Amino acid sequence: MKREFALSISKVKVITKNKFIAIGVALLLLDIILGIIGSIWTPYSVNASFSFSEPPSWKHLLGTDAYGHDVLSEMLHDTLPTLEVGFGVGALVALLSTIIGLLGGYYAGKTASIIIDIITITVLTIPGVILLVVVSSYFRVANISVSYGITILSLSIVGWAFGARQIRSQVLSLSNREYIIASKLIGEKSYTIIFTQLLPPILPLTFAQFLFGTLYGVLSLVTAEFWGVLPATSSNLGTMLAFISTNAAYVSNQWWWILGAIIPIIILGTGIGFLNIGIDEFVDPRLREIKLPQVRRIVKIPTDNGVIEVSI
Amino acid sequence: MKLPIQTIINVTKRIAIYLAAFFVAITVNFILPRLMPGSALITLLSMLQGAIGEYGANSALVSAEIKQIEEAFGLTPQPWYIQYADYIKGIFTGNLGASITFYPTNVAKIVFPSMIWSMGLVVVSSIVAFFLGSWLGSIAAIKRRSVTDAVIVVVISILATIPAFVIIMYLEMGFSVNLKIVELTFPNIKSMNLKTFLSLLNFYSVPVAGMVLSLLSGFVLGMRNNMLHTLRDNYVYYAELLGLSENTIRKIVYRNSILPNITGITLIIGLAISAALTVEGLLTIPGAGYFFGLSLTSRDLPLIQGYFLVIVVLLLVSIAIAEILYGLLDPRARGGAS
Repeated sequence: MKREFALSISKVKVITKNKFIAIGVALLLLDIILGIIGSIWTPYSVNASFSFSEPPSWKHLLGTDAYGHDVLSEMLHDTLPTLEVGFGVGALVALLSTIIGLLGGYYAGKTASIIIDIITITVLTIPGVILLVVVSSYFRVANISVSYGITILSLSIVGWAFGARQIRSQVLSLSNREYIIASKLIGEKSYTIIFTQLLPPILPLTFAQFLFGTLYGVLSLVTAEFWGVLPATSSNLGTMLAFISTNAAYVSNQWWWILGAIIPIIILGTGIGFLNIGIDEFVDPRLREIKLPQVRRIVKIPTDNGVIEVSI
Repeated sequence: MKLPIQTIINVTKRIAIYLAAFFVAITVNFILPRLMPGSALITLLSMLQGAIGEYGANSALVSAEIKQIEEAFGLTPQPWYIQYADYIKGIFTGNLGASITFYPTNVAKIVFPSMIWSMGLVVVSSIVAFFLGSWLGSIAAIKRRSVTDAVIVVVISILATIPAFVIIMYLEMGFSVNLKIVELTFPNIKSMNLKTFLSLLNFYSVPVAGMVLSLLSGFVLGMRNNMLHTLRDNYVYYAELLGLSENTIRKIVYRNSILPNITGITLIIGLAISAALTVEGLLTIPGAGYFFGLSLTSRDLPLIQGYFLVIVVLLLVSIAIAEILYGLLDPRARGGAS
């Protein structure tokens, strides 16, 4: 018990000492804070109208769009719903891919794993956007929260397959290790083996699934909004980009409008990039930087010419 | 003599799994669009009348009209098993019926020509991204935790988060709107000659560049993460002790770490239509992504089904190719039973 505790302390130390993880977490927090601020307060009302397509100025830091709205206010207002969908999809994708990957890998070769294999391949072939279109057409008149919940659910249902394949192959190689075979031989229950011995080593992969699931969620939301296939009950960065493309803002050089729609996405991506560098240490402990305390000792060695001092 | 029999069993098992997945997938693709409320004719009619979806659909006059037209087109709802039998028959004979929004054009006549543009775009971009990304990833890995590494990974992550069509918007703004060296619209192709070919090349330079930038991340991170592990192998220490330069070691380890990226490129090509969805929508390229997006918004059932089928087949084939390549290229995975 004591040893386990010491082990977890050292892991916490690795996390807090890791600059990359610290920067990554800070950026994700910054994005969430921007989103929360935007849901409470924006510099101008989102519906307030000013002169059309004005470049950035002190009055409007990110200019105004083709409808005369303040781009910065729009950006802040739309950030939180986008992040909600992203993180929601990320969490569900991580959960589903881990469970299915664990089961598929542990029961490899049995009927259950063949069924899981067929389901995984099938799910791989269905693009998230399509399920979103079908499901959301039922919720055309539904209110905002329902619609985002449904969005998250539809994207997650078809988004876990890539991760599950990755985790499955990892579990497959772990299952042949001596300690797992030993546990099986002494008659440990399957769920004990799966959750206490196979789950911990693949947790970094689960975290990677969360990161990529988040990106997948945001990008799919944007794609769905681009084609206008989601019920337009609330605005998010996807609807903002859809307006940008229908107005062909790039043909009229309105770079600030496009920038406003992607700043929160860029912050999210940068954070995920830093986290990705940081977590490779957990995937492979050999990559961890170990600084051994350097204690120099003076050793006296007797020789023919008297005692000499050697420092090691 | 035991091994070949085992291999044959394994291969048949895999083929059976893929066939089963194919049938489950096409059945799901049969059910999904039929669950969608509303019909293509409603959308078509309201488009013709200039009315918006819901409004047009609710008027009694319109629904009577639709019933008339449905009967005329032979679209009157039939029991599901007859529809399913027709659907399966259509898949194997290649006759998927006529599109509703582009009536009376056959679905196959829309789907296959449009595939050329999307496949061209995605295949070319992913090959460029494969080589560029693997090279950048190997540099990041060998210079792990340096400024170079951090810059590569962070820039790549930013490019991965920005949707491809947004990158293309900025590129078009720079190169075609301001510098005026690239054409903004898809060239009008009447006959294929050198001039149309050159204008196609000119037009495609921006979407391909945009796609490459957004596809890079997978290859960079794939190479980097895999190479980090390989770099800890004993033969690398041996190479270091021999005094080989950093670049020589990078080249040796590069070849041993490229496998996941080869799997990656086959999967990206398998997902071509989804990748082209927004890019072709933005630039109105008459490719599969564009028509698939249109069919989704207009609920053109036969056309949606046609694209579904292509997506399923393309992805199954690419997963299978990835699996075969893995076996061929990695001696450890050869022989199957693991």
